Amino acid sequence: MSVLPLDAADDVATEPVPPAQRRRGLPYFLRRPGGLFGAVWLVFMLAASLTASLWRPYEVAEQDLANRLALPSGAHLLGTDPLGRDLLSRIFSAGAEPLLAAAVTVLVAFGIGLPLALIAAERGRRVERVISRVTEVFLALPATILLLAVIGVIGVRTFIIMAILGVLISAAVYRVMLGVAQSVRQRLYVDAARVNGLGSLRVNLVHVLPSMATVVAVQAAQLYGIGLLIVAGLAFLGFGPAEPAPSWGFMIQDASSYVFNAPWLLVPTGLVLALTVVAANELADAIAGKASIARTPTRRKRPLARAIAAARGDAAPADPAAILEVRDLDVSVDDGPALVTGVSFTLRPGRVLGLVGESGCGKTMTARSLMGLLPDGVSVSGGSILWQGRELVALPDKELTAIRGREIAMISQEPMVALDPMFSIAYQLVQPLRRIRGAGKAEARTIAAELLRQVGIVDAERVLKSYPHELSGGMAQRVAIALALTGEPKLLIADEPTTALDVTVQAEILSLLRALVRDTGLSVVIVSHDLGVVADICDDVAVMYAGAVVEDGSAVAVLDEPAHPYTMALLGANPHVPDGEPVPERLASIPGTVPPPGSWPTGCRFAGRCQFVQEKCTVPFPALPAHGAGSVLCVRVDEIARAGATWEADDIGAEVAPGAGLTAEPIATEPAATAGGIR
Amino acid sequence: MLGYVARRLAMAVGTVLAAVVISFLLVHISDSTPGAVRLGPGATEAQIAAENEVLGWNRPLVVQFFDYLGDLVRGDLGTSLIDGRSIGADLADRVPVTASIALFATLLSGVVGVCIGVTAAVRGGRVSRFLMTGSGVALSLPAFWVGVLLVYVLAIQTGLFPATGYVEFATDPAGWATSLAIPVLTLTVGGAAIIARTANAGMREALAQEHIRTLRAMGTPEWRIRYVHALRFASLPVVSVLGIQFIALFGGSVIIENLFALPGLGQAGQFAAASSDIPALIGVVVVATVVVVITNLLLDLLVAALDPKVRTA
Amino acid sequence: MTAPAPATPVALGTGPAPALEIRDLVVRYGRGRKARQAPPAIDGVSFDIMPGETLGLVGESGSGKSTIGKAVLGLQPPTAGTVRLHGQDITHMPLKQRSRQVADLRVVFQDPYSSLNPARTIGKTLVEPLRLMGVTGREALAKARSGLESVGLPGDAVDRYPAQFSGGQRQRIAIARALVCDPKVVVLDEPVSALDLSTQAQVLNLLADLRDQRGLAFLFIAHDLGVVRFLSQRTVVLYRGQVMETGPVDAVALAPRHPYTVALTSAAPVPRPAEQAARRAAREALGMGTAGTAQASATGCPFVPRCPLSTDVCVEQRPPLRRLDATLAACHHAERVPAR
Repeated sequence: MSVLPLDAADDVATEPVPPAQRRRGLPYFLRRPGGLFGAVWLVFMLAASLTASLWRPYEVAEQDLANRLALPSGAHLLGTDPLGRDLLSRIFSAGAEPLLAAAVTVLVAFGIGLPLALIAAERGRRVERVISRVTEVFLALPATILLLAVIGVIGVRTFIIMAILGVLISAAVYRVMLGVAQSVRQRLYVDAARVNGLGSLRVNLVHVLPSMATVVAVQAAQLYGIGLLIVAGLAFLGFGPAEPAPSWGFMIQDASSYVFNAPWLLVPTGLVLALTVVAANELADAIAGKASIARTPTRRKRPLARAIAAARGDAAPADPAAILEVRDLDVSVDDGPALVTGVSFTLRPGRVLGLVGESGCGKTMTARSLMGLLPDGVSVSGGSILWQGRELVALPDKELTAIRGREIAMISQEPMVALDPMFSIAYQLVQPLRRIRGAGKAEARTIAAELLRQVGIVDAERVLKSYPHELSGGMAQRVAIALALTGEPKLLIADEPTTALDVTVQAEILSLLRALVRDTGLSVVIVSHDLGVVADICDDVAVMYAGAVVEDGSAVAVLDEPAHPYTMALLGANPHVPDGEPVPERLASIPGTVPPPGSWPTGCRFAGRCQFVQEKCTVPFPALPAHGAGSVLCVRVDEIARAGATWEADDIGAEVAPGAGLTAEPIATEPAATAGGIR
Repeated sequence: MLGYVARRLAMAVGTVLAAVVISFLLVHISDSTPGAVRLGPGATEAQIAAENEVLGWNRPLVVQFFDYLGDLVRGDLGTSLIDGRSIGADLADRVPVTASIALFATLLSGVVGVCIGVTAAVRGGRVSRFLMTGSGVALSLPAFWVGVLLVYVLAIQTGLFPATGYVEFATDPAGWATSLAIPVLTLTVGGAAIIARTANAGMREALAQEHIRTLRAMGTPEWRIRYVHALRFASLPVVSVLGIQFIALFGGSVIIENLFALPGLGQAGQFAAASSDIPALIGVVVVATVVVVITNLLLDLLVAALDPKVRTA
Repeated sequence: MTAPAPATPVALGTGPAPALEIRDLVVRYGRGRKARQAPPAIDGVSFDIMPGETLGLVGESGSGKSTIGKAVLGLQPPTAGTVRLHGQDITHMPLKQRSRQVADLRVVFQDPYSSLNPARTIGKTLVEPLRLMGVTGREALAKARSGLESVGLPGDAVDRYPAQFSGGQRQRIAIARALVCDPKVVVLDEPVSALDLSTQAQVLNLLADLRDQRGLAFLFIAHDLGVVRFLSQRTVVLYRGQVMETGPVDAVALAPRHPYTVALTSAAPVPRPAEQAARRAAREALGMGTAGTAQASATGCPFVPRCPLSTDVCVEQRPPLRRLDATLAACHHAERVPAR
């Protein structure tokens, strides 16, 4: 008990709940059964214990010698003790001291620990170090034994002893709160308030403390439970109220000596104490909002689409040269809205296809569905993914696992977290080399070094020995590419592979990918929001908007002669211009934001934000052929092309006009815009 | 790495010093004196004063402190005011009892807790709900109550193990093991629950990591993802909490030793506190602190060995 | 676009007084022996911003661009050097005092999600700085409303919480908060890099409009030279805490004289496949070293490990900023940098 078994604080949300959500009905933690039980039981115990002298059926020392060690009966609802005293009366009369003394511990511990944490987080490294060193010493002191020493010196004075315990425990509170306070202080609104000139005290009171409230409440409730156990434990040892005054701990001690002939005696007191501690812990869990139950992660409902695709079976692709053919792919949240609808594209060996669009347009979901690696609760709900003539949508997980890494590999956006931090690079490369290529240990290591050299790492031996945290972002992405190459895949899925990297590093990684495609005949599906990246590396491009492909074709055709208004707008919003062209005075912008899944308008999903919208855009229409083998999903594409219209930037000053930030972008609480209000 | 160890060692010495200082101050701000304790309630003021003079109580505090420190460095913890026995020798007999209970309970908690926590994280659904709710309750149960319940079931009802008492390992190894069984099981109930929660949270966090998706994308078998990569990631918090557990069990052994009449360190603390045997109390505090500090040192080294970020720093 | 102001880090102009003046700024993180041995995060940076002018501070991660912003705002105390606002030395002025005396330096941060306190209404957030300046409650609320309207949001947004707004709208609110006390100088710390392309364009247009309408001076911190070109007149290119090149933004972007600026400008892709192919070929011909390979020497040019032109003198001597055509560049071999 010298150190708190408090849960780590970082799994507790430190975002304060916006009051808007708080106003209606019960606080969120009382809506969980555990939280409701905890709160109700604690309030009940407190009320019943503090008023015990008013309602208890017997006095605490009143002996009913005829009824010693009695089981529950009408006269004694919970039975009697060895002296025939009423257990019900004694249990509740004994409750006030532990319930209040534990609160003293909590108050003292937080009263010291919390301000220290706030000061340490505010004043920076040096102050923090001094305070932390002192608290480390406190943490290492054996609290229980020190408490015994205190008792030996000052005698049994429960409230003072529990206050001293609070002082000892404040070190643990400080440790937990320091981490939270530091992370809250890193939030930019704290800096903004400081720039505004808000004083230190008010910054802490207005901006820092409220964001820590949840963690404070959780830790306080947990500590309260621990405090209860310690008060009772001390009384158990005889360091509690002297007989005949009742105490939970001593009543259990008493019961333990009668366990041979009167086991019932153990039950009522123990149960009340246990329930009270359980209540405090349940309340803590509920406040933390922690779903302590993991969702069933692997066994997923077999979606209908799988059954359909399975019935259809493998088929020859329409394009005989295609290595990958995606037809009418739908991806949905199970029992929820569609995230991707009707996506089709074809990929030939040695080609690079770009999926491009803004966030929330379904690019990543499309890419991940190719490997069957959709997040929990999201699945393919229609269409087909034909990989070398095999239908992947129908494939059971086991067979997909056999394809992953060997035929299709993936690299992701954040190279620094894509590698396992606990294992060396050598281990992470050697392990799949042995599994997939069947290489021996030494051979695998040689191949690993070769792979690293292939991805442009000069000092391969040093990198092999290092761990992910020792690599720079660019280096980590090279290693991730080398890892993807261990299985000699035919297709590489690259999900925003350069977004987290500096622009000079991005150029290097793109050159590397290009060289791999040239040298090994690898095919690549690259997801990006950056049309410049697409122009650099892609042969073909599919522009996605709100879960659908709105325009596709060769990268040259789509980027040089965009046909869809959305593509035009994206190009117009890009401030990067080729040398020799002037930077525009105004950038093209699209009013509003991408509508979220579930609130897509019928007809053209871009209609609500489009400069060229007309009545006919609001009814569904098919994609039209464009750019040779490509297509465009716009009913007015020919009219726009004939008129030679382009996406116009707003006039100067338009952005400061009232309502400019609101066009087709209602504030989130109002119903989402539909195409209904279109001219 | 060497600097790190040196820093931790300095901290350890500082902590022991702090423990001595605190207990010393505690003793001297109280109104009780060793003379009064030694002579008992029947003694007169004059007798007590004389006895205090003999015990050196009236010398300046600083002198007494450095005297004590000097003795401490030589391993001499003084003698008990009550029975005049050497405190050092007494505690040397007691530490192994407490340490073995704490150690076995920690190890058992680790094994049981990791199994429960990992199973709950991997299986999910109803299994997880059952296991984690159970752990939440087990964590809240007072050890002295659980202990009595276990005595009722395992000793009285089934007679598998003795209810109380301690058998020396040297006299009867089997008896020694059975005499520790119920105390260890008692401590394991709460301990395993805490480890289960830690392991569960760690496993779930691990399985949500980006690098786990990389492994899936490489076609890594699920067992390897779970029990090599995710478990390794979750092992760090589990090991830290196990260390904390050992410390908590060691320091908190007093209740369990009282319940099962085990001649351990906590029992000595309780006796000393009840009789205001001040040198014995300070001795218990110092010895317990030394054990805590050593455990912390070992724990830091273990974490450093497990975490490449610390190891390579 | 207004003509670039003549003020440069070396030639202190005689014209109008700069709105913001940074001289020989040095920032070291931490104290003690280790910190002193490490190269400083900011190493002798100087620049001016004229009233109504936008200066773009460009650099990659680790260049120290955000640290400069923090030092200007007083969030990170500089180790050496001065920061002057309208001629007044504010280098070590406490934040509380700043807001009273020099209310016209404000900030817009990068992340629209953590820059607004989720538990406070937009109104409270906007009123906070006004109240500190002594504006009465009702007047402050009226100003908050008109501030929101001036960034294209309805005035009744004051009663709502940040969670009810999209990223672009939040960034408008953050801009409104910065402008509500009528500052003359605003530090824009990557204000659009967390936004999607189309929203980014909206916010950039808004910033340009506000600047022209109110004659604001911006210190515009960004990693993307294209974005900087759109909004700024002049630019400062940073690498590892040192100024590599500075000058009119078009000159720096189109005719860079420092090898690092060449690397930076040639690496940014343009959305035209044919042009991009040519740029890529040109970039690959440069022979730039891989980023983050070796440590630079403490005495010389920080770009040496990656520079194709580096010689012994680059390792030994730190090159000073010197005038070359339209820009100032810190390179011993600037004359050998191929023209674009």
